[in-house]
Amino acid sequence: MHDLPLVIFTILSQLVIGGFVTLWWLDRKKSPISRQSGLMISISLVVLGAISVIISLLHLGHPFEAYRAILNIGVSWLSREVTFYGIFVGLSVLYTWFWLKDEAGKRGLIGGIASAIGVIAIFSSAKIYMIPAIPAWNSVTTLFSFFLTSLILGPLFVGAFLAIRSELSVNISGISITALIFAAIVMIVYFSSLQGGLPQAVEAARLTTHQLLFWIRLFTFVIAFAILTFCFKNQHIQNKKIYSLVFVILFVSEFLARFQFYETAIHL
Amino acid sequence: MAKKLGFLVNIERCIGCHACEISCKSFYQLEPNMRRRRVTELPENLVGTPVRAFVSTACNHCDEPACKKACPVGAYTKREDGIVVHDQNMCIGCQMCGKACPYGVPQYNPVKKKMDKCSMCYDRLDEGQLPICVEKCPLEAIQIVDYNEVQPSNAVSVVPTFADPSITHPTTHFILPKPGKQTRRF
Repeated sequence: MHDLPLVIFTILSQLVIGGFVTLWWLDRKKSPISRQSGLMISISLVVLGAISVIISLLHLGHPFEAYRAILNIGVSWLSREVTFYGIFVGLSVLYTWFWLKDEAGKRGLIGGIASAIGVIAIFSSAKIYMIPAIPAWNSVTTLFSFFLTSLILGPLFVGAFLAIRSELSVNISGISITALIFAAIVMIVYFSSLQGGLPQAVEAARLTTHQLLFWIRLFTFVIAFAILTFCFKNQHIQNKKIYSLVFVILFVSEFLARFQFYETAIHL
Repeated sequence: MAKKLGFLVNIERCIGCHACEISCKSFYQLEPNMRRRRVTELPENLVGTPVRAFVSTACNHCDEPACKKACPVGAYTKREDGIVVHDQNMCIGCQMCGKACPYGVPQYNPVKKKMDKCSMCYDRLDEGQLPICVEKCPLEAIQIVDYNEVQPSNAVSVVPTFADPSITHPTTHFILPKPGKQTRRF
């Protein structure tokens, strides 16, 4: 599949941005995150960010000429995505440096700027796909689903990491449950709009729901929601195993959804 | 006033011989599965009474080209005369233009690993020659028209299978076949 590098890139980049914003937010809230944990999370996000950039190059015919992809920033959303995501990864390296140096003030400032740029990068990424030539993509649900992937995976990644290091002081399951409820609403709106749209959109909906992957995605989504709800109601059982398990389940779920997003897109 | 060059395809004349498609492919030495121009058969209820009709399409050199907006490296330019030109030297093969074009015109060249599309043979036009498809059509079914000068009254901007022209405002126009006479036999 030609778009597989893009599936991996979009999922990883959204996970990294979501995780980064979560870490920055927890750090700003003066949550007790040790320097070592903050540094480790920050480094892992930088590594994942770098991996996502390298993987994104694989869908290009000429990966070594990718640097030119910022030339048309005035009109091309792809140029904007490349530029803003590149700046975000660069700033996250700087943010990691300030964790290493344990300079909270500078870390907060750079983290804030990087978070804002990360949000713009996700927005640009979604706008690339909101094109009339592919009716199944040309909707605001694309924008919502990209941001929701970030909101679902990012906090859970940081939550699982902090739970493993026994430093989790915030109940992450509340944020994740809210994101999953929004994701379920977006999913319903998405399929309703496809069914009422152009023939290519109807066909995209048919293709999506007729694949086993769709049902696996739905099953994993429901299972993750159930576990998180159980965690939320029984706050004493927030532990590393549960957060890690839910993160893995939702990562698979989001990956399958994104895979189908590309795979079932029907051109006009 | 600047020109606005576009193709005028006369479906009434086209017999579906594919000469335009093959002459272009041969002239530009395209890879086996690539075509800059394609001839397709249209539904027979095109004009009411059943007709067998074909349409030859290539890049529509749109007024608002989606390929140009999508390209991250700025490989697309729209000339003064309206021709949309793709610079393969700039292309990095991201294939976004192919996704963004409602007509799926830009194609991926698997050997060069870059995109490719009809350039309306602008270099031939600049030398006073006709585009190769126009020259080789035995029925003279394809013309180049300056739509700022001429607006053929019998031309339409959309045929079945053609995407909504309001998206990118393609310059290509078509002359539909005349409806045949139906003779009722009792």
